Amino acid sequence: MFESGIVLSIIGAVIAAFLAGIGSGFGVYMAGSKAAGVLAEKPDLFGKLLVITALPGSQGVYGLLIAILALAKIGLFSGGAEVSLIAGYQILWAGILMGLAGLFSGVLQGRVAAAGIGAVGKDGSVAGKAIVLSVIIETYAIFGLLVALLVVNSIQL
Amino acid sequence: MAKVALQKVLVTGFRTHYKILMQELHRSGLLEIVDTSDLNTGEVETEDHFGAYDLARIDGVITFLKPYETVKTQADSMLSGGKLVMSEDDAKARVKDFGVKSADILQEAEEAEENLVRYENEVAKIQKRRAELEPFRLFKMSIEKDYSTETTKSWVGSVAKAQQKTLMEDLLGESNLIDIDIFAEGSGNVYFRVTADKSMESFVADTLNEMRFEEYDFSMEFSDCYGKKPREVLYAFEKEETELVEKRASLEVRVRELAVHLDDLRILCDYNAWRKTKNDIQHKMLKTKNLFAFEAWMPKKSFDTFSVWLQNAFAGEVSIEKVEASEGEEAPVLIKNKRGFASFEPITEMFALPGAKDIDPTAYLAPFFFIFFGLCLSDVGYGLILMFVSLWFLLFGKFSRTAKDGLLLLVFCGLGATLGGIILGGYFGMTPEQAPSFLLNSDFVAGVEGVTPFIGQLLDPMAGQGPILFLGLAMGLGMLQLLTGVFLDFYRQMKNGNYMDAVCDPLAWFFLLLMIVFWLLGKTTGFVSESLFQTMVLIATGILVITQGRKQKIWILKPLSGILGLYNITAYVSDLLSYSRIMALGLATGVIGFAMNLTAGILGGMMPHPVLGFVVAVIIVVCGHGLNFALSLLSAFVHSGRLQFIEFFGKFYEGGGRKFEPFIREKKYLFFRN
Repeated sequence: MFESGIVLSIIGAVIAAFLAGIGSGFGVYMAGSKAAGVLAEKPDLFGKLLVITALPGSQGVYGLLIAILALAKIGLFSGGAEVSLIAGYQILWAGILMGLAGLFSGVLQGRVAAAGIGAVGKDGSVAGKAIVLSVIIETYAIFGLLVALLVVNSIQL
Repeated sequence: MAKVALQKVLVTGFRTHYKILMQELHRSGLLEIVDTSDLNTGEVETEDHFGAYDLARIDGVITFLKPYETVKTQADSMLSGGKLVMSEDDAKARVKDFGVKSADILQEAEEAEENLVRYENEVAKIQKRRAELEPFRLFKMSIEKDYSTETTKSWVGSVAKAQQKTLMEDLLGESNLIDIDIFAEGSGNVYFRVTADKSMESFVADTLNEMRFEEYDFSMEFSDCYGKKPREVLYAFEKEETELVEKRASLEVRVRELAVHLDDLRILCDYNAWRKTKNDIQHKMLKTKNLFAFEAWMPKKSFDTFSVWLQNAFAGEVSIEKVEASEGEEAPVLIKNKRGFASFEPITEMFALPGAKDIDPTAYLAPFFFIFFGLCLSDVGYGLILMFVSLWFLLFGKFSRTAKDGLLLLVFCGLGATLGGIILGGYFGMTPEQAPSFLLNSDFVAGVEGVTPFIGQLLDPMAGQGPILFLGLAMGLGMLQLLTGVFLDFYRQMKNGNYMDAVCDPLAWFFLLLMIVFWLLGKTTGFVSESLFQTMVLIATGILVITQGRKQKIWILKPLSGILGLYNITAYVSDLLSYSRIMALGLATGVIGFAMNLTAGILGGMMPHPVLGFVVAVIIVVCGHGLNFALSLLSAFVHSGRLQFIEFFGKFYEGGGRKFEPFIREKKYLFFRN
């Protein structure tokens, strides 16, 4: 199994989408349930809360992005190409990198977003600041995405 | 294009002019009145509790009536931003007409709301009782607390249906002094009454216990129905429920009629709110029997016109003079930028308004935000949609100035995304093979480097050296913004009179960063002399070593802390790296769009019939791009904002100013047409 480039690539793509998806899932879950609690008291904050809740959702999208790029790179959609073992490992590591970066930053961003939602619940005018605080964590998911993009893109099959 | 200079003024005058003056001030919104109530030693008027109460009542009734509004009013239209558009005279006339009736309508609406809630509760209560009594519908006896007589004992209740046979056998088989009357079955239970001679009481009780008999006690819920048969009671309940439902329905019809007055109520709500603010403001100022005086902030440049107007309008009986702000008092902040730049003010406000020593950063962040947003969203299709939808609202909607500025910001964002899309070749995530030929360069050949596929495209972020070029572009723009930020810090410190600090910190750093940029430029491209700028970098470093330690008292520490100060370069490096997000987000939009098109193609091709396949593909394309559009828009906006707040503002901006809040008529529902 670890001698086939194509298998390694697919594992890498799956890990990227899977772990980053879990990260986003937990993140949005934490922010979303907090937002639902605040909504019961202040329904007119829905727009602002929706934005903050959606923030930890981006990691899942980045994971998906790396997964699709990786699968497109190995030609899975167009009939398949020969994938060397080295290329397979490159994609695997890119996937692990994106997956872990997305997993941890997603969960933690969810916590910051949830705390921010609490603050917005008390004072709607701090929404912008709560968004900025939450976005700071996302930087590290984006760095993961960046490196993974560069790795996947530079692969010679 | 900056912070508006504000002047503190003192206004004094005769009480006779107070009312008219306040009315005009309230209308114009020129002044922010300072709270000087702590100086008030004379008569303190009581607060207008009735005004607050009235306002709360009207608000409550509006909320109650809103769901019953059947006729679509202006306020429902998206183009009016949920406001009632009318002239001030019309609004005044309507308030006057409606004012007389309003008390009755408010009272009726409040009573109706109360009654509706009561009916609702009563219906729910009856339904609960009905459900409870329903199994006893065929129970032949009337409802009593206890069915035992002197010689017999009775139990009324239920066991699980599966137990029915055992129950009959065990009890009836035991003695003919036991009688069972089964009167209902339902939801897996049988309902029955057991009557037995007192001598059998403990036996029956034990047997029933074994079968998990649930005894029913009428005294818990139905003590008011003793003596009546369950069937009769149920019938009465049904009748009562129907009556209540009918009453509720006819009341709702009436409420719908009342909802016709919603627009009048909305106008009244705004008018009452104004009356309340006007009334509240007097507690902030000094008033005696004949005189009034208050302090206020106003834009400096309006001072002359305003004092002339006061002079003319009140025949010199109201005076105004400039005063100094008291010790420790910070002036409120009002920022005003030229149209266009003004639409970027919300971004500044999202962080914080400029503090006392800050400059207004809006005009400087605007071009960067525009470019960053454009490169992050980077799709011609999305950009055009965003631009034209916002433009349509801007041109045909009736919104306040602030809302229009916000829409203009979205128009700019759309324009930026369109330009970014052209530069990076983003057209709904289409590959060159999928794109219509009029978008393509005629001499483009797939697989050959050198010519980009789309017309106007500068770099192809997904092929060859494209990603590295894009990354370089992002970092280059980032460097430009960091240099701007450091330079603005120099400017700000000079303006505040800290000449020494301005030269030693921001200017020295600016010099070093600029020299590093040129050095790297020389190293990579050879346009400028590498060795010259290498020397310049060393000189700049030397300057920093000298300047950074200037605040140390002991001479030996000066060079040491100067060298340590160089460590700050890491902060600039990490700031610069942060700009790589522009590239990542720019790529993300295109790749996800591409993935949506791909999915649509694959799933559409899998359908058994080509027409069905086409429909499926269209649905996936529309939903997929809708989702991508929304998510990319959100990321592009928040991340472009973040780059301003953390990387850019971090260099020169503190914020923390208090917003200038003029004494003005807040319009919650109204929008006055001129």
